[in-house]
Amino acid sequence: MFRNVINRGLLRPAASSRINAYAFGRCMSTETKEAIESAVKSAPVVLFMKGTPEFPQCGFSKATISMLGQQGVDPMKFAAYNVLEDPELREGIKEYSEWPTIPQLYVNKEFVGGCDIVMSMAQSGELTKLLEEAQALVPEEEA
Amino acid sequence: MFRAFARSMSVAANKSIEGPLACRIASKIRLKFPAMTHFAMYNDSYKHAGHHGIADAAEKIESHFRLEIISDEFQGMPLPKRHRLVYSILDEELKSGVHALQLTTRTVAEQSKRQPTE
Repeated sequence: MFRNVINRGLLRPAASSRINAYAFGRCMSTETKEAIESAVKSAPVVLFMKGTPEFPQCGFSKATISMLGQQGVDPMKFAAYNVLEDPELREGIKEYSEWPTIPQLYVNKEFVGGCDIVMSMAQSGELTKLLEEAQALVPEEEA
Repeated sequence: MFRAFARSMSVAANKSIEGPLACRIASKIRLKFPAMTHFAMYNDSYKHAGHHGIADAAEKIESHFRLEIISDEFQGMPLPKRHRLVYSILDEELKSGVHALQLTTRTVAEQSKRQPTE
């Protein structure tokens, strides 16, 4: 099922060669890589985390989820993947993002960062700007 | 003498920054950031002792660290690049038990801009 979704031409050209080289070096399976690619583009805002948004299993995942909630991310435009459910995803996402820790946030298929970066972007206002540009926020109520 | 010994014992091992991994992290960071004006390290492992993935992990004493690095080597780098740089320096430690690394990475100018509010 994943295979049908994959169109290599859709990959960011700059990233694809780097990721391929990395994947070959570390032997992440093609299936895992394709599953991660389709996960990354399954929604405008994608979080790879430990546990679920309702029951985060790690303080950093919990903090990241609550920051996204405070920003007003539209649940319809958000997807969360629990890396604890799948050891291949847990290791694969670290190679894919070249980032050794969880959580990891993607917005519009672009890697944003982990908890510290999301926190610092939330404080500086950059996160709101990024999410607005991605049209990922719940529209303001027109009263 | 005895008092100094007692004091050193009063810090729990999973809070101490004198363990082997902590020492390696500190020396690697000092080596790679010669322009560093501030370095602080905290061992937060004690805060995470019971959580998922750690309860059965081999390394519980030195699993969670928090680093503050103020250095002009970060000049012109976006945040993810700064963090990746630190991660790459500490690749070996991350693979041998360090589970989480919280990072503050600022240039001297960025740090001095923050001072009035802190």
